[in-house]
Amino acid sequence: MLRSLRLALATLACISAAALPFSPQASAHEGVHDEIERASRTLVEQPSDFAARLRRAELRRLGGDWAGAEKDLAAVRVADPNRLEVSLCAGALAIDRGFPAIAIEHLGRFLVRHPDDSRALRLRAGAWRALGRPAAAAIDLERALAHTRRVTPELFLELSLARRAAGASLDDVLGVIDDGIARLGSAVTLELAAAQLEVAAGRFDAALARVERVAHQYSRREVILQRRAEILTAAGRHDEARAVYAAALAEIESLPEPARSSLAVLGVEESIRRVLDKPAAPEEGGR
Amino acid sequence: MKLCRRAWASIALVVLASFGFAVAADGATLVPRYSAWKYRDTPVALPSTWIQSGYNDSSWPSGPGVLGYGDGFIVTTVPWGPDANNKYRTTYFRLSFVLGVSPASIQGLTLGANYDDGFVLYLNGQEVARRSLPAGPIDYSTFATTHEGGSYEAIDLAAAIGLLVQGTNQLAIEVHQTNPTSPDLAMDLELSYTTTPGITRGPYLQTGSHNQVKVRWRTNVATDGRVRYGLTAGNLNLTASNATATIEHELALTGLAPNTTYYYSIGTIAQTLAGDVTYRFVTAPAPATHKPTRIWVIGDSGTGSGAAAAVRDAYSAYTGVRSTDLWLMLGDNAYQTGTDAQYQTGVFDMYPVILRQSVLWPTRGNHDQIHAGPDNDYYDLFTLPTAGQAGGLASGSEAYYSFDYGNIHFICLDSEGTSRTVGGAMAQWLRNDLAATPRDWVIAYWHHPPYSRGSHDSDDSLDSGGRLKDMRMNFLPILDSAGVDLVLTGHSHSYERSFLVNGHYGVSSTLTSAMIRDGGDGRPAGDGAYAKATLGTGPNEGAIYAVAGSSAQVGGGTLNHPVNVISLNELGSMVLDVNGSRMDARFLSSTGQVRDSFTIIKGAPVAVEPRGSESALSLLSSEPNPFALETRISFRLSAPGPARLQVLDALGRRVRTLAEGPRTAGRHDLTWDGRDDRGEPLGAGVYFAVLETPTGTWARRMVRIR
Repeated sequence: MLRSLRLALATLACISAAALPFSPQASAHEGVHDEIERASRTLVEQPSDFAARLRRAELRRLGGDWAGAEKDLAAVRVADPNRLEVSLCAGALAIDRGFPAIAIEHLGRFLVRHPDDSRALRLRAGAWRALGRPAAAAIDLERALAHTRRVTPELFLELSLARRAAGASLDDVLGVIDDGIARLGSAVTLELAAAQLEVAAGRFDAALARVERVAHQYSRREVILQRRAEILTAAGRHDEARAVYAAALAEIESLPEPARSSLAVLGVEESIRRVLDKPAAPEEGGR
Repeated sequence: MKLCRRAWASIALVVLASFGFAVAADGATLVPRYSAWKYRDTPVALPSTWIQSGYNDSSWPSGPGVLGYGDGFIVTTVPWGPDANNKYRTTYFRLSFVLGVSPASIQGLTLGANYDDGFVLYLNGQEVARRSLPAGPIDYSTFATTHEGGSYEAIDLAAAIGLLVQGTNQLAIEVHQTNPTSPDLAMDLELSYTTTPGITRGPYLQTGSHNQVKVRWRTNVATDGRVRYGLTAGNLNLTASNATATIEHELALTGLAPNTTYYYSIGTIAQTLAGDVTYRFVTAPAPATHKPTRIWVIGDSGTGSGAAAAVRDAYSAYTGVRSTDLWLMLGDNAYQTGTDAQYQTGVFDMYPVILRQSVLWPTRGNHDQIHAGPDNDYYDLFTLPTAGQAGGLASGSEAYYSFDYGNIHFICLDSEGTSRTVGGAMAQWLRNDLAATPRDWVIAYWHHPPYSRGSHDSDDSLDSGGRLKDMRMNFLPILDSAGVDLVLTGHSHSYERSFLVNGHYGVSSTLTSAMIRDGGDGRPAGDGAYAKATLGTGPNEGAIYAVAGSSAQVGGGTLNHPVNVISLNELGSMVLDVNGSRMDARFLSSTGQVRDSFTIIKGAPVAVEPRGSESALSLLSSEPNPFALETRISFRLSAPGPARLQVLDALGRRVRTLAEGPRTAGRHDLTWDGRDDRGEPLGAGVYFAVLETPTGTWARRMVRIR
């Protein structure tokens, strides 16, 4: 039970914060269990308070009491079959329980009436992914992107991964990230993800240009220089790569002594030294 | 209702105490609060003509606001029908008022709405406002989303000025329930107009750096905007302007000089609306330079209550004429749901002076909810750096960002609404951002605490949807390995402060002594200040974790998390002073007492010489370095005397003593074979040779490779 609960929570986290159909935190100064108790007290006084029952269902879902959540949802469903929030909550619950196909059924019912609800769309995209259907996930994520008031780097990265898994061309996937960059600016997560795709496409100069776009933000430059050198190496431009690696090493050596002991810096230094200690590889020429 | 009145009373006090020059707008109230409204409770819809001025409502009963049922502040109870489990879904209200001036003279029209749950308002037969109801056609049976009454949400009705007529005007409002069993319903309105522009919010300062700052404010009517600024209050010779009419003003002042005081005023292009000697700010120092820096930290502060005011006033008295360089807000900035009206009460009316003088850097809490539709929310109200405008790497998101202030790097994370997975965009950005910063200090902050046993329990993996656990397990390792110094959070309504700790990612029962890098109280007059060897981002040297969520209320909890030096159920805020390699932190209670303090000194006690220092190289060296099998450590003593040469690992633990006892003057060479005192071989990694003599302590970094 504990393991499956952890799995469920991990799944939830992966699906993103938007996975919470409702906002039980709205009243949260307590843990989930306290909130469940509070909702239960409300229901003792007013058994037909379906808003409270839905809230308790959601809290029970979060708390891993899936049977209790099901029971609450069933009660609301019987009393008010038109309450579509039940389908949203049931979809999230089905994902938690590891039944993505059932989640898609529930969420589909909700989305018929609320086709642009970005929370439901992102939930369903997670279910599609779990079923190994990234193309369907991508469609839902595109729609979520179109109807999210505030887009985030996460959403573009999720969509790019779904498109790539669905077999889209690298240009298509890059287009998603470039759309994100156009809307959010040169966020380092987006630019570096795009640079990786450019490398995969063999467009090394484009990859270098993307790295260059964020390089000026790095007050300490060893990591970004290392990334540049890796791209040059992938391009077969070994002499240039060695020069950039050497520049990265010089950056590290210019750091104050204690800062050099950072595990991250140590890792960078050792990997650079390994490269520089090897005999120089011949230039492959192609750019 | 009592809370609401207290809140408004405290707002009035704040406004009176703010001493700012601000032009009051001319105008009048057309419909005061608590006016008498006619109402109609009915199980069926009214004919569509009910919103027209000519509709006959003579048979409707009437009563003064607040009208409704189920809440303590209701003055006139409106019936809900015969069945408490199937209440009327919509209730109708009407009121007429007289406008005595020409509508052409009116520049602003503002509604204050106290409602539960949703409504549509009509003026002279036309819809002018809608809240908590879906867009498009609705009918009697349409349910609203939940909204609690009690406060008056300010709604701009400038677009409806053209509907006003000189003489009698008709308001009609339909209020919808959220479900048939909802226990409460509320409606009361206030309608006022202005004939001249005035300031209704701010100014407040955002995204400040060493060379720019953004100034935001709100006016009652749409106007163009101008900030006049300069180096003295009497000579505001520079301007930044926006010719587009708006009520939400945001102007960037660029090309500023670092660490410089600027005075300013705000207004229209033609007219100054607010500004005096209290309208001033100091730019951040140039990057990487040192300046004594004062930081004010509040958490869970957004109640707009007397308690919040007491915390604010205690800090104001404490800091006196010492200006606040910047301030952090740790989430739950506006209760209960972070609406625009709640932000007005909890933030803008509560902290008017510091808002106009010091740049505010907030994070989002669980109560700062995101609102669809026209109501402003956290992201509308704050302008935060997404592109590294104030230092740090571009995150592309206002949810998480970083900035520099002199030699301090600040990192704001979003524990509420952003993916907290180790592979998520926020974690990726954090790793890059930490690798890129060369600053001496790193201070991170977010809402949900990794260690707390206050009103939230970090040992409960389900508390707050697992947010406390996620932040501890997924983000603390990144921060530890990059040498973060201080982590600030809220959420629990208490003050809880840790030892200097590293590597504690489990529940409290997994805390071991090895994770506590310094188990003292951190006070120079007590157990001594916390010392970190590295002035900069030294990995795994330990961090202090502080929960500062009692800036407006206190909660419960056992307050006994073993990682904490002290846990207090007291109102207060934190004051941080950073000066070069020293940080002094205090918890200041709402009564002005310093209830806790600690100090961190970086670059001590192991006096690691700067790389390249000739004296250090000649005094203590190792060769080869990096090494695989063994390295020769050499040191030179200028006079005979005791000396100890030890090897420490990257976490500062002694692994080998190579020499201890009297030594002659001159050069000494010892070989270290990469083994510990028991003869066990040690792994690849960073080690330090540390030489201690009566005249000082020196260290050299060594790298063992495989």
